[in-house]
Amino acid sequence: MKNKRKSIFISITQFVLLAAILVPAVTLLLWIFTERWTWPDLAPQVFSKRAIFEIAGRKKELLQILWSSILISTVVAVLSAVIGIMTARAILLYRFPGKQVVYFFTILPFMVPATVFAMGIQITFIKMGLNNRITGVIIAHLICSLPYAIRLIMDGTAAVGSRLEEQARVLGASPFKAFYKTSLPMLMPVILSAVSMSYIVSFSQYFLTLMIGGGNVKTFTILMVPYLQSGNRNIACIYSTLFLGVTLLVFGVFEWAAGRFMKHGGGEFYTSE
Amino acid sequence: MSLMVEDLKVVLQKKVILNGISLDIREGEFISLLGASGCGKTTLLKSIAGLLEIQQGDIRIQNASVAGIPPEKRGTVIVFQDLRLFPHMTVEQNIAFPMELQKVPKDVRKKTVKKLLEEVQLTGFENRKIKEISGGRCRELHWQGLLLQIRECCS
Ligand SMILES: Nc1ncnc2c1ncn2[C@@H]1O[C@H](COP(=O)(O)OP(=O)(O)O)[C@@H](O)[C@H]1O
Ligand SMILES: [Mg+2]
Repeated sequence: MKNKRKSIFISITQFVLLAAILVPAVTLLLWIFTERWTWPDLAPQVFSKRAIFEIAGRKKELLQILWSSILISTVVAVLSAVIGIMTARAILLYRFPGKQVVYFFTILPFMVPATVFAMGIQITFIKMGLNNRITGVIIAHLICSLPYAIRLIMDGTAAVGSRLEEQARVLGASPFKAFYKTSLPMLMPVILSAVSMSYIVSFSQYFLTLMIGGGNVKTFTILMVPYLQSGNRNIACIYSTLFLGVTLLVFGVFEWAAGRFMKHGGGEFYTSE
Repeated sequence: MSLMVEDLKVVLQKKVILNGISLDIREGEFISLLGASGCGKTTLLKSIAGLLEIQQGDIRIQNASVAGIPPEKRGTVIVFQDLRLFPHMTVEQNIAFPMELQKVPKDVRKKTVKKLLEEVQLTGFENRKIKEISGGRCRELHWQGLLLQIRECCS
């Protein structure tokens, strides 16, 4: 009896969660083709392909911006993971003066409001000649994504520890080889999370990209947000759908790449004792 | 192989763990170190293997100081008490790990693993994952992998 009630509770939860994702997604798709949809009708009254044609006319420009956006965000994601791994290891496995300060700095970007940060960094970047450049945008995005990456990878690194690397070292592995062959496959699931998180932080960054990129660096979000704000629903919905689809696709590629690395199931942080 | 430890001092997190340890093991000797839990046995082994920095003293293998030589080049092996098999690898990959590092050809590795598994009556376990094997058998596997390493070093 109790078991049955529990399973009903679980299915209701699953249903609500699924609906919470599917209803907006379907609405999004419907709005791409909707010309008129007034209250109280449940379905749109007039459909049209106007918005699709409008977007199709700018296909070339759109694809180019989409591609460069994916590239920028992937670079940010990969750099985040690499810097995240190195920082997590430095903090957890090595001893050096000022360690507590470095640890504190890793969460600092969480505390400073994004707009305040964007203003400050713009002035700094202008002085350094990084403004209006892709490098500048990538660095700015990195500052936003690194706290997530470092924190995630730190949890994983703390769980994996240096046990297996020590074993690999005494069996003849160089420091890098020991990490690459033992800890890295074990850490792959958290690295995947860190990469995905960093990617989405970068891909959806609007204000910061606008400030640092200064209109020179166009990303998909820069293109999309004005439509979301102007109330042109059809175009906005096409962009949103593209945003969703591309993100899912990229995550799929990340997952595939990570899977190749842990053929025998990484992420089992604790060996059988 | 001979091993000499002279006036060893090891400090971990500002705590002196080992102090004034000296020890002389000659070729062919088999030595057991006994002591209460937490007295520093593992710390001593890790220092000899090069996994820990030593504060003071000297460690000599074959009469040559190993100061500054990284663990992978010392030829010293530890069987840790907490059984550090690689959980993401199969039994075969675990045993073959040191051979793989030494770039032993694949077919030789396969043959050697097969022979070693036969010795502990674990034939056919090559492709099992570590978590599917019981604790006692894990220890046997561990020994096989390490024995192999020792053999390679002595030959
Ligand atoms: N990384 C470390 N940092 C600080 N103290 C440690 C560390 N590793 C071991 N110790 C301490 O050193 C002492 C000896 O530990 P260990 O060599 O593992 O003992 P045993 O192997 O003889 O049981 C213990 O008191 C332990 O708490
Ligand atoms: Mg011990």
